[in-house]
Amino acid sequence: MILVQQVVGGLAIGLVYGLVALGFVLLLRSLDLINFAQGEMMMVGAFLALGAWQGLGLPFPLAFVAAVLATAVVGLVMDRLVAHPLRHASLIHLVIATVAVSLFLKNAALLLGGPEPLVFPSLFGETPVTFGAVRLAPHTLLILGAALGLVGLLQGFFLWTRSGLALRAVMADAEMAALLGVPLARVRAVAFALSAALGATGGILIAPLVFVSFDMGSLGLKAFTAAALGGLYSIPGAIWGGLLLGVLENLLAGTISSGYRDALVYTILIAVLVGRAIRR
Amino acid sequence: MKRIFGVAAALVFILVLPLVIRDRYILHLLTMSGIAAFLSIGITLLLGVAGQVSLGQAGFYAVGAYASALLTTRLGWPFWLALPAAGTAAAGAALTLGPVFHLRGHFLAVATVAFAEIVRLVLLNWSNVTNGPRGIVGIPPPQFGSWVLDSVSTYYYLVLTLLCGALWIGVGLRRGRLGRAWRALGGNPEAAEASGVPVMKLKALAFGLAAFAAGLAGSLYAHLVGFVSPHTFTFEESVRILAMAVLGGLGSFSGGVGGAVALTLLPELLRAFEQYRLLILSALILVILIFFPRGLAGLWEGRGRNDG
Repeated sequence: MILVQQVVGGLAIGLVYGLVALGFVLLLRSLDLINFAQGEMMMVGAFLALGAWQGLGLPFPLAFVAAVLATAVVGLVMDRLVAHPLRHASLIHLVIATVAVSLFLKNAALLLGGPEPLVFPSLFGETPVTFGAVRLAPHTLLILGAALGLVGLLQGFFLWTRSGLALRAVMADAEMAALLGVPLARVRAVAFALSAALGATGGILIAPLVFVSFDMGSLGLKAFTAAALGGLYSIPGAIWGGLLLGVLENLLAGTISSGYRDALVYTILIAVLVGRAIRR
Repeated sequence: MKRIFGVAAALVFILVLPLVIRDRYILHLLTMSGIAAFLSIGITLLLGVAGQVSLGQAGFYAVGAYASALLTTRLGWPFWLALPAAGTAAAGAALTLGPVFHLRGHFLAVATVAFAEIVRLVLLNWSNVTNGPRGIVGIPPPQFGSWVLDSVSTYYYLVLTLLCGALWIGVGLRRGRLGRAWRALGGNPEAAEASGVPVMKLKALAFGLAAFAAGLAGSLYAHLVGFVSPHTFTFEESVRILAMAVLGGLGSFSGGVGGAVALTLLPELLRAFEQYRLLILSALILVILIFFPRGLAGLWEGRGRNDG
């Protein structure tokens, strides 16, 4: 039964990784860009949600939505101030710029929020929910529900909205899409906003499990590992990769220390990237 | 001609500095700038010449620092053996990355981030050897026979001498066949491969050399400060090293050295704004990338050329 609990807990964290990984995949497919600030979007989302909920006293669902939208705006600003001026620069310059943005957001959060990790209270308390002999933290269920709902919403966005269609066209073939009159600048903005929103969602959902702190963006590398496990360019792959990584991490907990566990995850990341490159 | 004059004037200025400045702290900072210049030369070769992004130089820096610290404190090696050993250890770490050189561009960059993070986690957790988060103390100053280099000004000249050697090798490598091949690799890897440039070997060599320079920097740092801990070798440090090359203008050694000096001294000048240090650094990187992509080298080399 412990095993089932570990697996379900891993699936919940894995869904969070998957959501953030989706943000990576969107920018990789539309701009061929790895956004090093994606992890910081988790941090921004978590901080804003905590501020809106506990600070301003908004009801949680409203605080959640407001924080996600505000982080999407951060993504838009990043597109406007950084990616847009560098659209003709080499990819290396753009990648270094996203690294600088990540450092900027992290240190802005350190200045505004202080170095102490903040507790993000669990919405449904700490009393476990029991299914027969399986005991689950109530927050796990929120993550599972919210993440699955979001994946559905995202699917709807891609299938039924004009922006979603344009984004799909650019992801399939950017040059052809531009020739056919898809406004690339706008699609790029949508991609930045959407991946920031996905990052924020992941950050808010995982916050009660890991504390809210200026350096929680380091989870971004885990999410990138999830994207890599899922094939880097695949949308369902990102979710599957996240689930795989989440379960793996949870099963490893207790057998090795968390430091070595993270080192193992990053070794897997390198191995997966190299494996992809050699196969092609 | 004007150029040779400029270089000579700069060299004389650098040589007499310790005679004029008696303040130990300022000399210490200048020595740290010289050590940073090793890191910068390495990444300038890697990124500016060969076009390969590394966001993990702090990892190689750490390997060099810890190798030197452990060899001298645990095994009693003398400094002049530990220094090249530290460079070799870092270069060896880069070469064990072997298959990683199949990766390109930003994927390679992510792999280097992961590598440096693994190094940091191992240093933090392998307490029997590395003493974990507390680090290694009591690293001796360099000693040649009975002559102990424990004054800052002698250390300054030691770093300066080694730095001149490194610059000479760097500039020589870039001028020669190897430099041409690296530029081909950075410009267009497919075309380079098609014209018979051994892409994998060249990438490994560029990474190995950059890591060697970072390893030397690590050793020099360890013996100057006398203490190493994992907290020095973070992702932020990798970004700072990358920023030196960006500030220098990507590909110019003189610019890279200028970037290293600027990014070591500026934070001290802005000491009153200590908590804004990394915020200012990141904003600076963005401003340079967007508005001054030729960096410091653009200031003193004029338009159209980039071969300082």
